[in-house]
Amino acid sequence: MTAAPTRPRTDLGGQAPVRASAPRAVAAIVSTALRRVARDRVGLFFIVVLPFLVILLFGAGAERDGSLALGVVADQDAGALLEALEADPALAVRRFDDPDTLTRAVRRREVVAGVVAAGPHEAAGTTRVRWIGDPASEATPAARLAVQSVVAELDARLVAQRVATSELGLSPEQAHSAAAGIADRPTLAVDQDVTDEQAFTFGVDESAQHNLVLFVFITGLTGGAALIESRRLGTARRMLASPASAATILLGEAAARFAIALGQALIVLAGASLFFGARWGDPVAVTAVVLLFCLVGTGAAMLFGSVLSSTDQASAIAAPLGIGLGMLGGALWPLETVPPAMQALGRAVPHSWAIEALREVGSRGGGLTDVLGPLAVLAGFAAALLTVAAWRLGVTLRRA
Amino acid sequence: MRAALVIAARDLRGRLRDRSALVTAFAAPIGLAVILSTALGSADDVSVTLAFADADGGQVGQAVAQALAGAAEDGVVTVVEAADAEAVRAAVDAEEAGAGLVVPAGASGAISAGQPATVQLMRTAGGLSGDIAEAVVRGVAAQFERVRQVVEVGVRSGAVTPADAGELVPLALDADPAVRVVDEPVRGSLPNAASYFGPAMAVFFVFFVVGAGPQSLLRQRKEGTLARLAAAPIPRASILVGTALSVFALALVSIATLWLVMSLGFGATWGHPAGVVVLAVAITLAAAAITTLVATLARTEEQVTGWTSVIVFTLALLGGSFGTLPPALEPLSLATPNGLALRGLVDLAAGGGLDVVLVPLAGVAAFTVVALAVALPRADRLVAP
Repeated sequence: MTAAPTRPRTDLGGQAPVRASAPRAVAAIVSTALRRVARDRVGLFFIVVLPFLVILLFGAGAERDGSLALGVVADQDAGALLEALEADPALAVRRFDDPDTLTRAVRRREVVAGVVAAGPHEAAGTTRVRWIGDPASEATPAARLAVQSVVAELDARLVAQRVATSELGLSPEQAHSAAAGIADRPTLAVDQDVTDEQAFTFGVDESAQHNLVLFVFITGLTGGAALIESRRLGTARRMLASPASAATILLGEAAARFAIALGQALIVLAGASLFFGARWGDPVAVTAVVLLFCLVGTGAAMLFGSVLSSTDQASAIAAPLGIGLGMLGGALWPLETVPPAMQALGRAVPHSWAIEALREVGSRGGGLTDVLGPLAVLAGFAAALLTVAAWRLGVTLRRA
Repeated sequence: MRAALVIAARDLRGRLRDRSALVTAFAAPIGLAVILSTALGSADDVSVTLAFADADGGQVGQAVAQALAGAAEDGVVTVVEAADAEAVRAAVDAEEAGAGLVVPAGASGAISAGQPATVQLMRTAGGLSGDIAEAVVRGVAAQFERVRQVVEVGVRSGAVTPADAGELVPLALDADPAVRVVDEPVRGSLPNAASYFGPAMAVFFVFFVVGAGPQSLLRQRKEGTLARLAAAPIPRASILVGTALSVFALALVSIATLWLVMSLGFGATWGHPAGVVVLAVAITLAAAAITTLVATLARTEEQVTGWTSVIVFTLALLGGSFGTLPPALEPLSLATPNGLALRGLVDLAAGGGLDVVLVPLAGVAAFTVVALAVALPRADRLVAP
């Protein structure tokens, strides 16, 4: 049963036989790491609270589906126009209380452009719809075109009644009742032939997918600092003095990072379903994606912990690096909305593959076989990161 | 004061030698601002290519072609003429066009006969190209709808007989619009995303740069440096002042660097320089007051670091540093000092005069005063050996 520790302790990787005590040593390292995380209340804020704060703030209100944000100030008589604008698929209407606030929002580019509409439309003369837009902004003409169409539809009815009163000598009441009888059918209909039913939308499900990936990775990097701490305190050195081999210690550290990443993933999985009703899709496929991405997070954590020398550095760099990679990998906004060059860059970051897989499963009802490609890429990332990290850490441990 | 300056200079040298300060003050804010600006900068860019085939050859086909030409002239769309429906379909499938429009044969005949006609739109679900193409057709449809409405009202009210209804067509076409869209151009709006995310990262990272001050005091106390300083014949206050000076200097240089890099490299405008400077100083002071308050309430350096990052990340998310909040939650942004400062900076960048600084400045100052009022009586703890 007990293999005598005859081999040098610094033997690493495949050639070192894992000792009988290894599983216990690994378990001990994992449980210590988990206890340390549980005791760090501030750390728990980032793991337990922040992901949901982000989903809460940015999940439901996201307007990144390609529609144009239009600010509208409408008084109670302009209801018909407002309704028509809200029904327009090209526009995402945001209500404003007064023209000044709207103008400021246009200046700040919070909306593409704005419309100020005041009734009544039925009186003779021309109702003015004020168009507030920056002619220099590229999206302005597109929004203007959409608004123009909506206005033209409204205009058709009002012109008919005006022509009836001014040219045909009808009373407004007569014109109104004649107009009321007109069948509500389009003169020129648009027959939509939609080629891809599964076009992209962004809602709570997608926000949850993004944040799972974002936070598993950030928590991983932050956890990498624990490696530095244990190096600094000499814990690793002391562990080497125990019967645990360097390989066992590395395995233990990796298992600990993995357990924490998995814990983070489970928290987002469960919390997003529970609090926001997020749907994740086929459990088998989700499990595969999550496990592989947690391995990627583990590799990144180990590598991060191996290349930096102080916890100060680690804590200063972990968050910006995690956020920056998340941005590049499309975990803060859909990659579809960024320029092609940034999309290409995003494919070099593991986040984008995990998100693609989660979206295929969660938003499009895909199964395991639909995400084999992204899974293979994630496995590649995990293998590469873990190998380099093990090699680096092996060197450091040997030096210690 | 001399002692304070010496401490400040010494502090600053140490800070710069430690690479983590360089990350927080320069690499991270510039890096994230560049990513944010590049990724989201073209979110507004609209490039829509539409394939179009007219199998009708009548008034409907001409009207749609004319509307497309108008939209192309305005720079909204690029139109690719296709021979027939199949060619349009091929262009959409090959993604040479974002959407395709086909006016089928007989559309004009149907309209003339008082029957509804149809224009085919080939598109992907949810794409802006399809929405724009739809808007073009709806604009055209409205012209025909106008004629139909006028004719129907005339006939239904008995003012004209169905046989004479044709006389109403020119009346309908020539009538002044009942609703007119009047342009009110807004000049000098925020020119690009860099003009938002430069300031956004500035008001975010300033908290980390400044927050390093109180943290280093606690560390020095732990390491015993403070005790040795206390043995020197210098007033304790000069230790506080010295540390404050060093982090202020670093914070202001950090913001200035971001200002310079985003302006020169990424075309950001920051607006009236005096306004930017005033707000930069104000938010730096607020960050100092708030992080000092946190430090006086915590017991260990680890607590200070942890609490500071919790507070700063929450403030940054609420304050809009990673993008504006949905409209309903926007008041939350203005309930944070960084959100107020960002609002002021963005309004400056959007061409506002110095007056746009006043309200944010007052708000930020209020936060500073309140935080200082609580922190200062307790600040002695930070420098007591």
